Amino acid sequence: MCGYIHKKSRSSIINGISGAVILAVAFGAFFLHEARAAEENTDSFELSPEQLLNATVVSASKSPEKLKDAPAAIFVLTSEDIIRSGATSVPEALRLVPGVQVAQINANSWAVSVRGFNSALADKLLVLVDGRTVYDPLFSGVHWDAQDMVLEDIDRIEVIRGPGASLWGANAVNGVINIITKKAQDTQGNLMSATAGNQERGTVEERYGGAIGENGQDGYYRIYGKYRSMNDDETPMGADAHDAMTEQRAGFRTDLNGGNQNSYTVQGDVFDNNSSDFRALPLLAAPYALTDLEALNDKGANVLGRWTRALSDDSHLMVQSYVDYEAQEQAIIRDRRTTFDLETQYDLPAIAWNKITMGTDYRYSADNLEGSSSFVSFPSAYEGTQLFSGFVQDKITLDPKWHLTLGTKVEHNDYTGFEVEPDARLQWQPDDSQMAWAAVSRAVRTPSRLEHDLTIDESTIPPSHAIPLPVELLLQADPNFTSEDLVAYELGYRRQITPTSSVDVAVFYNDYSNLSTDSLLAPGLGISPLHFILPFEFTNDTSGETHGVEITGDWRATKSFKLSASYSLLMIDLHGPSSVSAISSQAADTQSPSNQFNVAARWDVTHDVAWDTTLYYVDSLPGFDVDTYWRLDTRASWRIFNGLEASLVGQNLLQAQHLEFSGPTAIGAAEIPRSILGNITWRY
Amino acid sequence: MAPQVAGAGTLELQEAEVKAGLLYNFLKYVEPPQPLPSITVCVFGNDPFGGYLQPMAGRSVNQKEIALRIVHAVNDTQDCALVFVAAEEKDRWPQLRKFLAGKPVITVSDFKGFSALGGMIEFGQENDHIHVALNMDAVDAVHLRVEDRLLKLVTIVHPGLPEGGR
Repeated sequence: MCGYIHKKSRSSIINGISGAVILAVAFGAFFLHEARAAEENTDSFELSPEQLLNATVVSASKSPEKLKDAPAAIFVLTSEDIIRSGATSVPEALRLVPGVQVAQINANSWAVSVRGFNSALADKLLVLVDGRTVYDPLFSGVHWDAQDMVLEDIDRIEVIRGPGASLWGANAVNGVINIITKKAQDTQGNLMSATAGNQERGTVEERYGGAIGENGQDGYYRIYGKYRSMNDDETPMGADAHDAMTEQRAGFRTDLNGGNQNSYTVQGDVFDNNSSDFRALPLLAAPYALTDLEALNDKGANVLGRWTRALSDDSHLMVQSYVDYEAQEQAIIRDRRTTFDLETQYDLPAIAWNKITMGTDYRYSADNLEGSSSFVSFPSAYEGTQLFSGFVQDKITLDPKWHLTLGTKVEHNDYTGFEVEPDARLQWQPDDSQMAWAAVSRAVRTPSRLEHDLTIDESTIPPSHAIPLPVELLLQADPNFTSEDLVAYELGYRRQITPTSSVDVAVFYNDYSNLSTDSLLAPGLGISPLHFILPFEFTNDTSGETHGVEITGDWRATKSFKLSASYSLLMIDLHGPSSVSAISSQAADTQSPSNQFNVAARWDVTHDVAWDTTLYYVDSLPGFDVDTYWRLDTRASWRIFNGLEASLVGQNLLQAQHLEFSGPTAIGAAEIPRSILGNITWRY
Repeated sequence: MAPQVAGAGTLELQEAEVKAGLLYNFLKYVEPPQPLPSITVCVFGNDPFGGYLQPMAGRSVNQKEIALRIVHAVNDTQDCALVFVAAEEKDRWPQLRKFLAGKPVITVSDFKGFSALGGMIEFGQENDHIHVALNMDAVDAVHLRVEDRLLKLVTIVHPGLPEGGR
């Protein structure tokens, strides 16, 4: 069913969007009618203190006020959003977030980006889990399959669109995703969860949280274990994609109350993921490429400690350190990497109109590479790189309505030396229901070890009439490859229209320079057998602009019914060298959807039954033969009795299967099938 | 983790809704040393209640109508019966505390550590419930009397009075 190129005309895209709006409205009207009947009109001033303190708080995010006031394009996925979306993994839940491109490549790999440049290793997005960076410095990007956890234990996922480099440093170019897990105090007791379905072969989670000291006066802890297994999908040709994955992981978190304004957190995880995919290995003789089923193994362990001390009323000191080990094995390369990181952050007491925050970071990352010599080579199997950085930020109150935040990060890395990433943000809050902001910032994406050191035998062009010899395409390392630069201009406005409805709009214009470009070098001749060698290397010869808008709206129509919707527009215009050497970055404008839209309806049918439905629209990806698609996910849950909940989830219900992306080598991609799964969760 | 009783009796409310409702109950169950001529509830900083506090204006406690006021200057809290300190104004709390020292004004906030810093009532959240910590030292210092019904529901803390009589 795939493999054809369906070029969608603009009018059909627009038709698609208006179709979505009509559907959403019809959908909303129907549920509203139903939900109104069920609504009990509670006036919180009529309630007793007992009732209020026993009430379940439905929006659980810890600091909504703070985020509401942040002068940036921020979207927060709460624990409830994640669970009720029916998602079974972190990247799936990110489909709800405006301005984020999420595409599943196959059962074990994902492409996730913010504001474009999507790929299996999207290099302009920084991702942190509880303050630990999970951006891989070898390939530059995030291995989403390894970023799993007990989804119930996620407190929230904060997604910041736009540069975050002035605080988080290099590679926070187009966005930052912070995955924040719940405090141990909030995950007390037992949780057992079992999930199975046609795609989810079986997931079992067990978590236990306990108190330390009498009534938790010294702190709390939790431990968890998770096993997840996914079934194989099909390739676009209808063959078995052999992309099944099994995952095992375990971990803990301890939050200690140290007294005297001190608190300590120690947490860690271990994981072991096994999967496989198809990869084309180049040959110099017919058939010139060998389709290899490669085994993929990704395992790792990390431990993180954080000490926070309140120095005075409005001043804090935080020291955090972690060690992270990850070993990734693919057909042609194996990498074992150990990272040590030490960070400090100091929030100074307010000085007149200034609220200053500053911090430092030191990171040492050492790897050990092993490669299959016929496909990959590098100067040294071992490399240790150091990163030193510091940031300072000042939020200046100009008057009660106007705030100006100025900040910069200065860092030094071993590949490109010093990088400076400044940021200026102006915000205007005329009253408590609305806020407008404008920002200008710079961010860089620093070279990966792959770009710096690796020479890879990419593919072989078979002989033809024009060129009678096979041509070996050889990607050569280029130590002169330097950072990609971005200067971003952003505007935003958010407004609480009524107590139950709000809207958030962000507009951006990103100006990139020094983007990665695959540039051809002078061809050469190779022997045994005789062949041409066409070498190319990464250079910084592409520039470009992207612009777009992201709109989100929320409407809590009744106490038991909520609608939310978001729309994202992304336009990419890249200018590379006009020669034949246009390969990599220039293709980025065809690998991220221009229009995306989703509408989610959350309905508490009764106190014990909830039904949630989300409809997604994603534009075609002409660069990958991926057609426009609509996706419908729905989840119904039933609280059977105290602590025991059953849910039924249907994902991707509108199509038997469809392609969402293409692999790094096109043959790795699979059709993403319709998925039905059931879950039982027991808390006691 | 105390299991939730399912079915009737368990309410689901917005966080701001619960907190607004509790503020009203504090006015009801915390008695000033002398009767107040009027009851003004002040929010110090931008209103974080997202519209859930407004309906309290016009309601009555002890036959007195409640007025609501958003204040940004410390001096404007002079005649407030209750001041809710927006979490973002945490930095100005020491200044406000000094100003309110000795005045029988109920102080409430939801930033962490508020009661330890001399605030009277601190909202916290545990799992999906709001809980309340009451700083008995601060309440006693200005001779506010908290009724037993409320005392039974809150966590009483005794952080002592801030040093230097602040």
